[in-house]
Amino acid sequence: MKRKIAKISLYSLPLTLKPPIQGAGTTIDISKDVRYWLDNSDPEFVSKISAKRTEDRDMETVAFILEETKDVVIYCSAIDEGSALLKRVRIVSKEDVKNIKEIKPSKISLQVGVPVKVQWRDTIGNYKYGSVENIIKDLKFENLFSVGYLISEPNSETLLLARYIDNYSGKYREVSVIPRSVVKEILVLN
Amino acid sequence: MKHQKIFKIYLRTTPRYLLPPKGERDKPSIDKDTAVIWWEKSSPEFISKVKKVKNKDLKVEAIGYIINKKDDIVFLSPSVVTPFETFQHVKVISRDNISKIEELKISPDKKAQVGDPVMLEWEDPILSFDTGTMEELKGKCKIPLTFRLGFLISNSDKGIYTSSLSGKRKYYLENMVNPRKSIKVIHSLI
Repeated sequence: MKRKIAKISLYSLPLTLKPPIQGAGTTIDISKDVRYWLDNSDPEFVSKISAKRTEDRDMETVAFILEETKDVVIYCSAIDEGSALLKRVRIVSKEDVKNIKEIKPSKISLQVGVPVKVQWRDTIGNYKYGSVENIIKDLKFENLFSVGYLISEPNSETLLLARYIDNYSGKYREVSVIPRSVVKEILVLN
Repeated sequence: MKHQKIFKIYLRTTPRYLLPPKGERDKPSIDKDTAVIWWEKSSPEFISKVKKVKNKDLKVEAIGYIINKKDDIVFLSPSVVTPFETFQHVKVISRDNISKIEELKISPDKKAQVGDPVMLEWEDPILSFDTGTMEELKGKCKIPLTFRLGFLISNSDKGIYTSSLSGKRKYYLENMVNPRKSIKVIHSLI
C-alpha cells in the first residue's frame, strides 16, 4: 500500500467524518468511501466544515491522506491494509490548513519526537458463529499501519505515538499506546 | 487486581448484547452499574425478547464473569479491563434461560490444551485522549491489562484463538485472535 503520508499544519482542529450509515466504508476503495461519506453528510455538518476560521491553534499532525479536493482534506492516522476499515477519519477545510508537506520513509535514525510510520499487529475479533476452521479462515491479521510523532523512547516496552502537537504549548494529544511486542517495524518519516 | 469469579454457564439460548440507550454512544467497556442502567433504559421489545423463555434448549455454553444481576436478568461478560474494572462485550440473559452455572478456577499447573476453558492475560493497545508534554504523557499513558475468558480453539504460529461461547457440533461464537506476543499468560481453567 503506497498511500501518501503528509505533515499537515492546521489553524484549527479537524472534524470527525463518519459514515452516513453504520458499517459503510469497508471497501478497498478508501477514496470512494470517504467521498461517499462526505456527499451524504447532513448539511449542518457540511456547513461546520466550511465555517469561517476564528482561531489559530497552530497544530500539526502526521496522517495518511485519504482524499484531497479543492475545498477539503480528508485524512486518518491508521489504516488496516487488508480490510481498509477506516476509523476516526478527519476532515478539515483547506481554509484551516496552513501547509501540507508530503513525507516519506527515510534512513534517519529513530529518536524521540520524529514523525514515524509503525507497522504492527492488533488483536481482532468477530461475532460469527462457525467451526474452528472457518473462524481461523475469517480472522487473519492484516498489516496495520499507524503514523504519528514518536514520544516514547525508541526502545521502551510501550510505544507512544501522538497524532497532534500543539506548537504553542508543546503539548501532544491523541496518543496511540502500543505494546512494543506487537510492533513489526518503525520507519522514520522525513 | 483481585480476580473476579469465573463461571461456565450453560444456556438454553445465546445471550443478547446489551446496547447503549438511544442517543448514547457505545463504549468499548462499561462498569457493572452502567450495565444495569443500560438495561433499565432498554426498549420494551428488547426486554421482552430477553425475558422470553425458550422451549428448545440450544445447549450454548459461555465462559465468563457474572458482572451483575437484576430483575431475574444475569449480566455476563467474557472480558475485564484493569485497572478500571470495566467489562467488554456485556450480554444479558434471563435466569430462566440458564440451565446450570459452574464456578471455574485457575489451575496452578495445568497447561492449556485446545478446547479447554482459559483466561488470557494480554496487553490491549489503546488510543488515549490525554493531552500533555512528552513527560506528562509518558506517566499517564499506560497499557491496561485485559483478562479474556473463553475456549481455546487454536494455538499456533498464526495466533491464539479463543471464543467465549460454544454451541452444538463444536461451533463457536464471539471469537478473538491475539498476536502470540501480546499475551502475557494463558491460564487453564478447571
